[in-house]
Formats: sequence, structure tokens, C-alpha cells
Amino acid sequence: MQPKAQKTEELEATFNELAEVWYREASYWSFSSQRAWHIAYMKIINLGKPALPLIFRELEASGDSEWRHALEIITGANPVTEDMWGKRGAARKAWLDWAREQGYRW
Amino acid sequence: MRRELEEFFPNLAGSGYEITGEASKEYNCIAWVLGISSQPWDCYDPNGYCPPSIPRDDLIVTVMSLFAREGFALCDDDALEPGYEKIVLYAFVGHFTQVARQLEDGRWSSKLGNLELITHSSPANLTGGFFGNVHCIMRRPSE
Repeated sequence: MQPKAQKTEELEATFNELAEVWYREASYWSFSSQRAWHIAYMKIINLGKPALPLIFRELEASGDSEWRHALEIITGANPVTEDMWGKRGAARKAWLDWAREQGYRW
Repeated sequence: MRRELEEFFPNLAGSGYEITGEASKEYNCIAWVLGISSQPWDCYDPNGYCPPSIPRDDLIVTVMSLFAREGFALCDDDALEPGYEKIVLYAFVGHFTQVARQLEDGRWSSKLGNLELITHSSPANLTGGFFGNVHCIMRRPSE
């Protein structure tokens, strides 16, 4: 059995690699929904709950609200309410607030 | 950047295209065609703009209806036509992928997702790759 620290490092390396591929290859698409179809994005979703702190970190750093697709699928939650649509940065803030309330640290 | 572009869009290679604007997440191809540079038109993005009553999907028919609301109608070809502004819509298996607008010199201007703005000589330059094929040409009277 691997030590926990080693598993965390491996997860982070896998996530960073997938995120880099996704940014590079999916940025050609016009809609965020299309960018979420990319195979690297699907693989990030498959990393599951252990990857959540990495996604929150990336969401905070990049501001890309399209991370919400992965967050919705992994957590089953959706803190982005209808009145937030069209308000720049509101979805990002809602997810980061939700993450802190749930006790996530990144 | 050029090497990556040509990898994703093989028909751009050797076509004499130019990169005319920096990469930006502030606007996408639809926003560019409609003259907006401050917000992407994206009905799936909470940061984006989505006109009321437009379905939150990326079907080509949805995007065609969006442009029809903006005064565009289907036309026969992509030839330069004085008095008209033309756009070309691309689709992949029924899903909208890209829109380009014709410039006054007959060339085409395309904002590539979150990436650069390019000018290219023909709608065919962006086919055969990520964007699928040309689905239709639309036009509206120039302002």
C-alpha cells in the first residue's frame, strides 16, 4: 500500500497533466459546454472526490467557471443559482464559498 | 502557436492566414461576429451572455435562430457581396462549433474559442479539423 503523501503527489501530478492537456486542446471550442466534452476533462471527473481540492485551487486561480461542470458531477451539489447567471465571477465565488463551508482546504 | 493551430486545423497550413488578435477569454466567436468584445456569448457559462428565450444548448439550429434574431438570413454562397455582411457557420454532427465573419476585402475573421483572432482567406481553411464542416452561410444588410 502506498503512503498517503505519495498518493497525493501522484494525484496532483495526474491532475496537472490532464488540466494542461485540457487547457491546450479544448480552448478552441467556443462554448464552455463543448470544452467539458474533452477527454482530459472527463478523466479529471473520473479522479473523483480526492481531486476536489485541486479543482477548487484551479478554479480560484484561473477563474474559469467551466470547472463547475466537474464540481457538479463529483459533488452532486449546485450552489450556482439562476440569479447568478450573467454576473461575472458569481459562479466562481459561489463554488469557493460552498467549498469552504464544507471544510475543503486547498 | 502557429504549429499548434495548423495541427488542429490542417487546411490553415500554407493558406497565408494571419494572427490578428491576442488570445482572450473575454469574448468568443459569436460575440466577435456581433461586435461585442467584453463578454462571451455562452448559454452554458454563468459568466457569459445568453439572450432571453434562447435554449441553453449548442445545437446548430439554436445558433442559426440566434443569428436570425440579429437580422441574418440564409444565403447561397460566400462570395463578397456589396451591401451585405456575411457569416459562415460551422457544425460537427449537428452541434455548432464556430462562426466567422467576412471582412470588406473578402477574407474571413475568426475568433478561435478562448484563443487568438485570425484572418483567413476562405471558410474552407477551418474545415477538416475540430470545427467539422461549413453548415451554412448567412447574410444581413450592412449598416
